[in-house]
Amino acid sequence: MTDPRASALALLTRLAPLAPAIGRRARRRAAIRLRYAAAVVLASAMPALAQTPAPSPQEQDGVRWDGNVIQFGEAVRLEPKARLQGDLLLWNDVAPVDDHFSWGSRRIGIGGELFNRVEFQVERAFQDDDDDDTAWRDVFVEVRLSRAFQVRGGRFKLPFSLERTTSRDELDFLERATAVRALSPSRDTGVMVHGRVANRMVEYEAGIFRTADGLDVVDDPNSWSALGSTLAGRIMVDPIRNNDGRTRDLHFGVALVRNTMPEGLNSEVGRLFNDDRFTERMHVNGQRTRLGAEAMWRGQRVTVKGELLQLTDQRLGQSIAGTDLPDLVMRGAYVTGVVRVFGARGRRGQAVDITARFDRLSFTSADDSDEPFTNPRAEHVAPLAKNTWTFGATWQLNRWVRLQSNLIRETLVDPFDVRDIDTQPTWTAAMRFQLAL
Amino acid sequence: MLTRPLSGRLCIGLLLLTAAAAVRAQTTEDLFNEAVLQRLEITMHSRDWDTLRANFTDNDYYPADVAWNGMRVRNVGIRSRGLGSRNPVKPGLELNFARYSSRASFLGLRALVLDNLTTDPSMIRERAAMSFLRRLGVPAPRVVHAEVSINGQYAGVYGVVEPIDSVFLQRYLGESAGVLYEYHWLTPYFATFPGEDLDTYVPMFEPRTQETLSTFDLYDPIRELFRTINEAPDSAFRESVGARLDFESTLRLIAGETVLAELDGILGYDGMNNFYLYRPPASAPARLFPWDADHTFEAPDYPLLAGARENVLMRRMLEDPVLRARYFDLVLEAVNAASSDGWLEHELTRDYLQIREAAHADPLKPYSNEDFEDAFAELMVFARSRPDFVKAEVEQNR
Repeated sequence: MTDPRASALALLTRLAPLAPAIGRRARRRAAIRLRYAAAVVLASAMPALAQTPAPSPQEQDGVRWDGNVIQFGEAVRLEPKARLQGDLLLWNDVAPVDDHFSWGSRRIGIGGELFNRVEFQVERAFQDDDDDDTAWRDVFVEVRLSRAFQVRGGRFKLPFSLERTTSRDELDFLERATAVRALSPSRDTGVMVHGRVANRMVEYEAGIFRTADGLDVVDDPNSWSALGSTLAGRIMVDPIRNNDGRTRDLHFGVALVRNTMPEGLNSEVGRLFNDDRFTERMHVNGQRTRLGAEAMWRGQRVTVKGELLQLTDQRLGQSIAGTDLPDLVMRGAYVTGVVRVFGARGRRGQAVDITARFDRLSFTSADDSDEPFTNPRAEHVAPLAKNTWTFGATWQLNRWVRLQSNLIRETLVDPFDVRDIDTQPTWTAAMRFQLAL
Repeated sequence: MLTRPLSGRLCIGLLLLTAAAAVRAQTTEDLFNEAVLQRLEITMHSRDWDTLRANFTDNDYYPADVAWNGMRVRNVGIRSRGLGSRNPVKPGLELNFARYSSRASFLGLRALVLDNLTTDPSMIRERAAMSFLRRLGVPAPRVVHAEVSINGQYAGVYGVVEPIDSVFLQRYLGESAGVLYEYHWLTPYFATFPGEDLDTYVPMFEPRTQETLSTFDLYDPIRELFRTINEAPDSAFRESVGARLDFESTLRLIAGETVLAELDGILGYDGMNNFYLYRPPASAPARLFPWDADHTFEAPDYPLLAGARENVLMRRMLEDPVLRARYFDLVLEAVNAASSDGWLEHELTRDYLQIREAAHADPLKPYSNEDFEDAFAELMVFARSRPDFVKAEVEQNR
């Protein structure tokens, strides 16, 4: 019987030399075939990986290797990191799918711990996968003075939003909720203190950051000096926390991020699954305030979580006549349900999850007494919202490999009917293959 | 006493009703009233106005409020416009009333064009030309002059031009269910057959209504129109092309442009230019509408058949004896419309006197007051001598 991996490798070998000689369209077809072939190779390897018992620690000359962790005695621990995500767009009823395949994420990095006190992480992306403004992702050093007081410095995610602070390779869906993408800040450079107190029941995070906020104004020193810093804080309470698999976990949290925005078309925008913008950029000037509340309940096989998010932007001096405008307000929320239909609780073993999420992002101004308009200096910004249902399945084949599929239903809601947009629901289906260390 | 006396409340109510009635009474007839030099006040955020002028080659919209005749229209989209007339000092402007709300309009109009008049030192060619074409029965945009101020600063004399859009179609044709295309000059084009590839037609004919139709539905009829113009046998030309293009209105428009010595129109010196094409529903023949007439009045002795040989459509129409005879009849009709009772002279003089003071005070016009006066004098020479020249040319060529 022919080994499928051998067949796929033979196909790869046959196709590769042809690539330079064929036309663009043919090259694209060949590239897709190559990717499929690669997927076949990897997929066919999965049962083997899945059936392999967990590797036992190996030790040689004081160096231990356990999975992807390398331990040098007791003093140094290194953890190489890599992530490869390939996305396959199966169906989109707005536009015909032209190019089915895209890279979701490609990253490498290394993390580790020194002398049980200092942790570090350096990670670089080869794909714009996280609404970030540079290729560097987490680059930080953390000093653990005690469980209650740890200091982190460098570039990392701001302490805001349960889903934003969840690593992309551990998400329940292909993309974060629309509201989370729009309303939570991306990474920034700063210093944060954090720790657990009250018998680990309460966790706090507080930091001060540069005011990047996705804005490309780093070359203008005057802007930076005028803007000041971003302040961020988050408090989480875990009143029930037990990892024995029989009791339940409960988690609550609130967060606040505040910074100053420079004058300009700098409002946040909502995006569709295909990354197209569906809200207009608006003129803002002044304080930006983000508020968040999060909750999660994790049972034996069922997890329910959700967040409420709000972002307000001041619009000082931004009216057509140069006077102040009412604040711009964006609100969002989501509720996610996860049912583990196969596998043990936890993230590393074989498992199959069925998931569903409803999320909503809305956009308007604080004062709605005037006639609504969509212009970037409108007093009453015509409200617009997007409701999204996402249904999915996640198959974690082993600690490194997983397959995810999502069916997404997006609906735009324009209550005053002032935009020339399609308010009929649109459906998208997509799959992701992920390899992560 | 907390309540006002009844008589007081009645007076206030009557005053409000009167004011409301005055506002309701405004129509496009008032806006395009040729007897009045209009006045438009535009308010924009100062940063937006600076950005618009700095990026005057872009088509980005900015929000503005516009006041006219006691009315204030809020949240209007405003952008720089024009081709050769684009100007950072005195930008040509498009006011789009529906840009920021699909339900918004101004006097029923969805947009207005503010022509900066920078390519015409007389500042009155566009208005006189369109007025003349309408006099001939050609659906042509209404044009009036206005003193425009921006953020309280006088920005000069502009031409207020009615855009060709669905509102225009409704007004002139009583329907707008077909497809309206704006022709874009890309290279010299003389109504030859552009070819089988529909993508060739896309940049030439931009849809202004029914924009969401498929490429095939939008451009296959255009391809077939120009194929027929070029490939129909002589014996079947009138019947075949006539099923796709309305000859009467097309010949009337070209006759009007000929009398006006239009340098840059259907028979333009560098190919076809400055027109819209409308394809009505139910396969009715297409029609052409004139646009941007600031290169009219080129010279009193501008040849009657200038551009006619190069343009395939015009050449083949003139080769058909019936169409040829009809064309010369329409040219003579146009000449008479211009010269009877000194209509054209009177029109030009009225427009000149109406804007003279405002034009002299225009701080942003790219020419001097002497240029303005000289240009008007040339127009008067044109109006007096053009009819005789055209009549002689008709006699010679028909």
